[in-house]
Amino acid sequence: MSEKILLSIKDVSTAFKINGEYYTAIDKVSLDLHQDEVLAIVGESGSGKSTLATSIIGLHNMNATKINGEIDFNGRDILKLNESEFNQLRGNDMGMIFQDPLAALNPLMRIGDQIKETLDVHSDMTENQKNARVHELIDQVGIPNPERVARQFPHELSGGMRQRIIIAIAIANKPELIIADEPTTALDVTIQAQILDLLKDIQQENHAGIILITHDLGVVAEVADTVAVMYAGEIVEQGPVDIIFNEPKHPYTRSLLRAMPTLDTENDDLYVIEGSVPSIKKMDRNSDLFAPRIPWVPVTPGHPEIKEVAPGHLVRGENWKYFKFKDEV
Amino acid sequence: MWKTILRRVLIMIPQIIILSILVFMLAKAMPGDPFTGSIGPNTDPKQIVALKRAAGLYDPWYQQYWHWIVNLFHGNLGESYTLKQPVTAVLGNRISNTIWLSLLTLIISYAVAIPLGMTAGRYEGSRRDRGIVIFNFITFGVPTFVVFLLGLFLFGYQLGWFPTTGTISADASGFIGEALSRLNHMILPAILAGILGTTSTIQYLRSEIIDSKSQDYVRTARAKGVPTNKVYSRHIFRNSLLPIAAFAGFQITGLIGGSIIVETVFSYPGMGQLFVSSITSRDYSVVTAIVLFTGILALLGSLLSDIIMSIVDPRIRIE
Amino acid sequence: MSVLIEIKDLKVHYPIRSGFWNRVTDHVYAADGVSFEIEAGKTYGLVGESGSGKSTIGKAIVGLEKVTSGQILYKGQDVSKASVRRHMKYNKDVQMIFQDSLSSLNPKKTIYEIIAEPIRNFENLDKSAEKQRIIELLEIVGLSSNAMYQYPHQFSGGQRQRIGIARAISTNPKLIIADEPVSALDLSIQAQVLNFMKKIQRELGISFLFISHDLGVVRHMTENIAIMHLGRFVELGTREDIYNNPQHIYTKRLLSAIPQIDIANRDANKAQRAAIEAQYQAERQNFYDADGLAYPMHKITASHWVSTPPTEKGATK
Repeated sequence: MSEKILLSIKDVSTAFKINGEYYTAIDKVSLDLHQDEVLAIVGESGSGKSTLATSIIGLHNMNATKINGEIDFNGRDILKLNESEFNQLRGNDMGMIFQDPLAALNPLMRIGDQIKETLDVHSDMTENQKNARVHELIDQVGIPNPERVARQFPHELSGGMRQRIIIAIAIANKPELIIADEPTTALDVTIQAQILDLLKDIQQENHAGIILITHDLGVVAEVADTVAVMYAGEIVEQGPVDIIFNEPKHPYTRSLLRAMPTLDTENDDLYVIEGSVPSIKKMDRNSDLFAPRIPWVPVTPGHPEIKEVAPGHLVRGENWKYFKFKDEV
Repeated sequence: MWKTILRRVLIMIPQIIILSILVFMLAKAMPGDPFTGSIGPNTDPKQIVALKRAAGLYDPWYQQYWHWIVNLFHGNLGESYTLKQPVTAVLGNRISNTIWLSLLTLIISYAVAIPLGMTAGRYEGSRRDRGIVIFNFITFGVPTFVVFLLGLFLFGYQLGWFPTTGTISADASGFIGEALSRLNHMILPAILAGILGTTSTIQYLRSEIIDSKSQDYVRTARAKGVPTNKVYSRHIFRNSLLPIAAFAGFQITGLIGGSIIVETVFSYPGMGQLFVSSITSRDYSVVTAIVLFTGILALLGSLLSDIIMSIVDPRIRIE
Repeated sequence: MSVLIEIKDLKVHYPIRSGFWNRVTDHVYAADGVSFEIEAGKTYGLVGESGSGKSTIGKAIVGLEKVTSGQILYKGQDVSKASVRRHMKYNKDVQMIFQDSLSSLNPKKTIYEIIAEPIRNFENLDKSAEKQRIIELLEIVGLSSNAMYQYPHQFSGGQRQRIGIARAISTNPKLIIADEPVSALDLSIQAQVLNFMKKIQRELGISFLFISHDLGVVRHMTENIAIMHLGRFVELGTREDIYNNPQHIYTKRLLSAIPQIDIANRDANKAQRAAIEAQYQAERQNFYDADGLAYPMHKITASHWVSTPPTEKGATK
């Protein structure tokens, strides 16, 4: 991991308009991403992890979205960019990888044309150079016979191949930042392993920073350097990957790790987090949003702040200091 | 792809045979026979029987059907009772008149509907969109013949911009002169029918575009940094027009089949008008021929739609 | 130990049509000669990647898939035929839980009607007894009796999955086939549903066939596991056999691909995975026949069967 900060997110809040009213989906999120770093953002549905990704790459429908705060990318606050300035950045300095590789490709366009489109927008290569680059990219993501594949349509490829094509599109202009939103969720485990390895290889080659959005703790443990755990639109814990897995502090992080089936749980019940994630319309931002899920722990009034508890390790609130699971009390 | 098309064409053969049997049965079920009109009150009943026998009317149905089919292939559809001309001769001109009118109507309809549908879909919820939706309600709601009559009255009789009857002026001469005159006769009915026919296309295109906008591949295109206008032209519009293109085959059949009202109001001598007049005058041989022809046209329309679909959508192309 | 269902050489082939006349030119061998037994009260896991045919087998056992050949024996009768199933009221005893809880519940019906449907199909209860039964079932799956007047969309994914379970257990079945029941759920909800399935399995003594691509979940849930690849079983054994002593190269590859929560040994795990992948590519032809399909399985211990080339002696399955 290099010292150079690539992306600095400061107090970013995103709110969506639902029936005329704005509801906060992510609340004052702050994060730094360095060059060569893989930062995993973990959370369950409704945690706001995908909203954060979409806010960074500017893909929200701005008619119904409000974003506050500051996102510095290479020293520029990208929230102040207009649409055409942002288009210069997207696909060029930042690339995105999506969850569902079939839906993410236009069914009526040839694979080669879909990769070439990003070169059309951002480079002044000749047609021949572009074609050569397309073939080079298909080869780079590990697909044999690039000339043939470039002429094919998405439905003619397997799920794993399609995801490789999505990666080829994302890295076509050697972006410094890659945002991968659940890149392996739709894939089989063996393919997942290959795609994760490919992502790591590409990152090492291009010296990119990767933001990996996922709900899968196993994937995080395999590839992340740092982890941010999100719950109800805010980061509850953040730190180096070994700290998060080996010395988790926040009750939510600890609950999640305990809910996972592992070798030792064969004959036991899994840990169940009580209650459910509050809906976006019912989040009381002046309280500890996770407190209702650990009702045996005394509630401290007000909204807990996130604090550094060790170098690079941040935890929200104070109740982690005395938190015990019910069966440990 | 050629194989698919050829197979599709071959499937049409049994469809046409079934259609022809149905039409034949229909013709047989109608009261009267070709001699009913030519027989006077003093004709000897024995002579009628002899004539009928000679004409094969007492043969089993399949022999009669075979006979009818053979005649059909020789271009012999019988004779119109009222016009005393072979049906083929009566139909010939009418068919081309109707086809030309339908094509022009379709072109005008798409020329109006596609830009409107695209605008409504792209700027969903805007003032423009609401205006287009209201326009759509109006064209859907108003009775067709009222619009035709009003149009005819206003632009034909009051303002005198367009001719009010026929397909060509008596004084038109030369190829270009005749073509322009024909066009002049078609333009008012085609514009009115075309505008009234935009409803389904606008509605369909609008919802297709709204649907496409939220597709993942559109998000991918935006993530590539493709400017908004290009995202629309290369991804959203292209993909949304696909079902419209595929529907064109059905659309034209529908127009030809639905030419009755427009042709009647504008006294335009096409198939629709002929159909109405031959039903009122009980000219069954003409009615049968028109029904058969429209039936075949419907099959051709769906064939055309399938072919267009297989050309534009790579997912349907079968080796 | 009593055998509940015996599956003998089950084949489900789908025709592929092509060519000018659209004739059947080939088949997809979704399930191609699969044999196993399900004993009463035990749990079975069926693991494979997409396209392995694991769901096809589940659907064939409940009768949702037409069987091409082979037998599914229940109480001595071949239930692969629809008439036999109807006659025996087979589906009273064998029920299914689906992956997508939203689309497998009719959105226009109340929870009451959804759960009552299988009861009405197989039992003759009067109105008040039926209602009593439904309240009981909702209680078993941890939902209040108010739920019965609501519609599926008013519930969360985990709650809907529990409604699906309530429907499946409403006829007191002997076997439940669960096809990826938790793969659409978040971790915390997944835990809830898995615990719950374990609980009813234990308490009601129901046999479970748990179909999943998730090896972690299968290990947690089932005692006996079959690994499937391209329509055939490659390995069958107890949980310990499969996870501690995998024999087939495909099983090894599948196990090595599971992400490990072991940060310290991350690179070692990656190297291990690469080594097994290389071994898989190199030795593949030794494990599969000329058509690329797995060989029949041979018994290597009392509980452990592995697909190996036919030269080795032993009973085949």
